[in-house]
Formats: sequence, C-alpha cells, structure tokens
Amino acid sequence: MSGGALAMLIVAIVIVWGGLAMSVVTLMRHPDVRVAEDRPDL
Amino acid sequence: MQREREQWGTRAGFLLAAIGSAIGLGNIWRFPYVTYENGGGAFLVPYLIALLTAGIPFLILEYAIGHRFHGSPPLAFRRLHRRAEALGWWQVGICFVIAAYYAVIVAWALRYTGFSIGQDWGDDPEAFLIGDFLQVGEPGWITSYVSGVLWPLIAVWAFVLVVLALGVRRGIERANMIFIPLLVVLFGILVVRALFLDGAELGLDALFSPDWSAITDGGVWVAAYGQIFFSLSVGFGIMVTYASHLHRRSDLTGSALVAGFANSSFEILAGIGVFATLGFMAASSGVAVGEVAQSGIGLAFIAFPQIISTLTSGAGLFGVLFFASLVIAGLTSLVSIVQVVISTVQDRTPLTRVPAVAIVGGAIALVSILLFPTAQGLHYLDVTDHFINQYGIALAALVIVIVVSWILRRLQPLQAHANLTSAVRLGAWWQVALGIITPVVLGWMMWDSLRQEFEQNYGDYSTEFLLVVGWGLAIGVIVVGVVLSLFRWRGADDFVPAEIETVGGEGRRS
Repeated sequence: MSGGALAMLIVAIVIVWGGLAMSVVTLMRHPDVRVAEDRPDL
Repeated sequence: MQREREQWGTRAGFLLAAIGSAIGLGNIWRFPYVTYENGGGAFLVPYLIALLTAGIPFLILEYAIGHRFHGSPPLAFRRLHRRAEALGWWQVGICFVIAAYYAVIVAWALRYTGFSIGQDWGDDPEAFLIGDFLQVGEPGWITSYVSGVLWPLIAVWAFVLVVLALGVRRGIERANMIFIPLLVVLFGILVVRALFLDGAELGLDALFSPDWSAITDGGVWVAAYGQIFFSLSVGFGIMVTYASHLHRRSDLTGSALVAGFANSSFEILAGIGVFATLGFMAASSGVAVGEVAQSGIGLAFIAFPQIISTLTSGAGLFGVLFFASLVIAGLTSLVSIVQVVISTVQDRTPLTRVPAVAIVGGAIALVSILLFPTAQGLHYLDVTDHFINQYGIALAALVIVIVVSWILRRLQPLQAHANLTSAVRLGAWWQVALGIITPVVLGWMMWDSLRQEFEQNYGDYSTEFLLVVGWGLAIGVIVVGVVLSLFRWRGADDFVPAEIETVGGEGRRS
C-alpha cells in the first residue's frame, strides 16, 4: 500500500470508529431517566 | 384511533434497531464503489462533512419529530401541522414500494448463501444469475414465474411478518439484539479472511489512495451527500416511527450520533472487506483493480461468486459469510421499512398489531410475491429502485426540510425538544445544516438527476416502460399520499405534548 492510502485508511478508522466510541461513551455517561409515567410493558 | 404506544424495552434495543435499519445492502455493495469512483481516500473528506452537516442533523430531525409528536409519519406530521400530514403518507407509500422489491434481493442472497457451499454458479456466474437463476426475459408484462426465487421470497416475508407480529419489544428489538452483533461477527471474520488474500493490499491501495483533485469536483460532493442520505435510512419515515416508541426522557441527539457513526463504521469495514477481495480478484486475473471494481447486484451476485470460485481454500465458508451478511443486513432494514406501514395502520384504524400485520404486511408481501419473482422482476426492480430513490426518498427529504424549516418554521421548537433530554446540546449549526446546507445539496441532486433523466432514458429502457414503472409509480405515491391525507382523522388533533422534566427538575412542555 502507498503511504497516502495507508494514511487515509488510518484517518478514516480513527475518525469514524473514534467518533462511534466517543458517542457511545457520552451516551453511557448520561443514562436515560425513566419516570413513573413511562410504562414499557404497554 | 388513539392507543398507548408500545415502547422499546431498553436504550440498547432501540439503538441496535436504528443501526440495523441504517445498515443495509447499500453499506456493503454501494459505499465501497462510490468511494473508489469519487477520489478514493479523498472522498472521505466530503463524506465525513456530509455525515456531520446533513446525515446526523436529519437523523436528529426525524428522531425529534417522532419523539415529540408520538406517532407514525402521517400522525406525527399532522401534529406538526395539520397540512403536513400528506408528507407522512408520502413516506408510507415510499416504504410500501421499497419493501416490495427490497425483499426479493434478500431472497436472492438467501439462495446464494446455499449456492455458495457447492459454488452452484459454475464457471460463468453472470450467465447463471441472469439465465439459470432469475430467468430474465424482456422488459414488459409478466410472462412467467421463477420458482427458485418465489420460495425464498415467501420465506423472507414469513420471517418479517412474524417479527413484526411479535411487536416492538419482543419482535423488532429482540431480532436486532441477535442480528446486529451476529452481522458484525460474520462480516468481521470475512474481512479478516479477505485481508490475508493475495493481492488484498492492491485493493486497499485502490480504495484509499487519495485523488485530491476530486475535492474540487461538485459531482463528488453530491455523491458524498447522496451516499449519506441513502445509507442512513433518512427521508422515508423509519426514524420517525422508531423514535415514536421511545420513552419520554430518551437522549435523542446522543442516539443519533451513535446510529450515524455506527452506520459509517460498518461502511468503512465493508469497504476494507470488499476491496481487499477485489484486489485478490485483480491479482489472480492479472488486471488492474479498476477493471474488476463494480457495485450493486453485479458486485454481489457476479463478482463475488467469481472470486469465491477462485479461492483455493475455505471458498464455501467465505461465500456463506458474505451472503449471510447480506441476508442479515437486508432483513433488519426490511423489518424497519414495513414497520412504518404497520405503525401507520395501527394509528389510523382500530386494528391491533397482529391483524394489522396480517392484513397490511400481507398485502405488501402479496404485491412483492406477484411482481418480483418473475422473468421481468429484475427490470421492475431496477427501474422502481432508481425512481423511488431519486423521486421518492431524496425528493421527500428535500420537501420535508423546506416545509419544516422555511414554511412552518419548526426547527427552533424541535431543537428545544431535542435539547430537553439530550446530553449533547444542539446549537445554531443544526438549523444551518437543515435550513441551508441540506436543501441546497438535495436541490442540486434533484436538478442533476432530472437533467440526466431527460437527456437519456434510464437504463436504456423504453419511454413507455419508464412512464409506467418509473415515473408512474413515483408520482402515484405522491398522489396517494395527498389523497389519504384528505380523509377525516378523528382524534388525531386531540394531542397535548408530554411534559418533560428538564435536568434541573422544572417541568416544561416541549
């Protein structure tokens, strides 16, 4: 693989998969708060 | 008819269902080729900008509409504004049409999973696909049925209808909790195997080598925004429907970021797997990667069978992994598309879930089974897919952003609604993305597509055939949407937005 192709492969993985990891971590730090009116069994 | 809406059991369940809807056949067979054709590694720059300035903002818009107005697309849009109901029905019509032909591709992939074990396509996979398997005839009226496609198609529909009949939690959520991890594992094994094939580096080099001159080409930017729109399942009401089953304090923006990045992550993985495999094919044939690179049906059902037959070890397993991945990706998307129609019928009629699935899901299945496992099925699929994508999904998305942002001016309250429950707060950028960037790009895409349509008949089909199967269908869906919105809908307007507790504890009506 050329240097340019390898660099773009790494950049793509870092940004997209890194973006996914950061989004998941952010979401996990803010769990949904269920209120009494939420009735998931309906 | 108003009734309590079923809710997702867990946030992970909703996220996996949303991701399962977004990850479809296009991720595997469209993204790699679009990237290669539009500047390789350089394409990733407009692609990522499109993801952040149009894809994720539109995803948040659909989540906010579904969550705020608590209904399927026609009901949610009616609650947004009484005269916007037709937009929702238009989306339901689009889903009806797409479901009918999408199922048949899943059925092909199902058969090819079995064909892979013995490489039943022989030495000429193209002749096998067109002649032996699909038995393709001339475009026009149906001349014969193809039993080899009919039976797997019935199996696909039986599975989809059973999942939907089980409901949001026990059906859709549970199926995605199993299928999405399974898809990642199966496709991950395939990618690892592909990376160890001779010539894999040639394919990756062809895919990721950046041609920076492409950045200045407007067509490349249009391709990037088009890929994001078609890949994320936005514009045809799926995310409105899925978000309507969320509970009140769900994090909308965070969920959209996870779903959007997960979809793109899988696309990158698919690009690596597909082009590593194409590199092997090019190396073993002694040709350039560009000569073997293709997309869509040609990639999946002609190029990949050729490659599988060339493998000296583990050919059957490689084929099963590839086609099983297509089946899983297709099924989870198909379930989400049909759910839009089912949810709408439940909102609009007194029917409960199982009768709604049996009657309406059965009707879509019947149309699919009558039209597509035929000698003319491939032509119907090709033309329907082209016209419903361009003048269904993309046009509906364009009309929705114009109506919501410029005519009804509802972006501000929808932004406030998303911010009430989301950790990542939306700023002015969100309104700029949806009010300016998205309409400009979609408008340009529409103009460019229409220009090409009138320059040359799509696929060199006859004008008569395109008028009936292409334009007729795309315009017919709009007409049906408008007509259905004219019927009286008792109780639809008796809606009071839920009061949502803000983080500070003060109750606010969003």
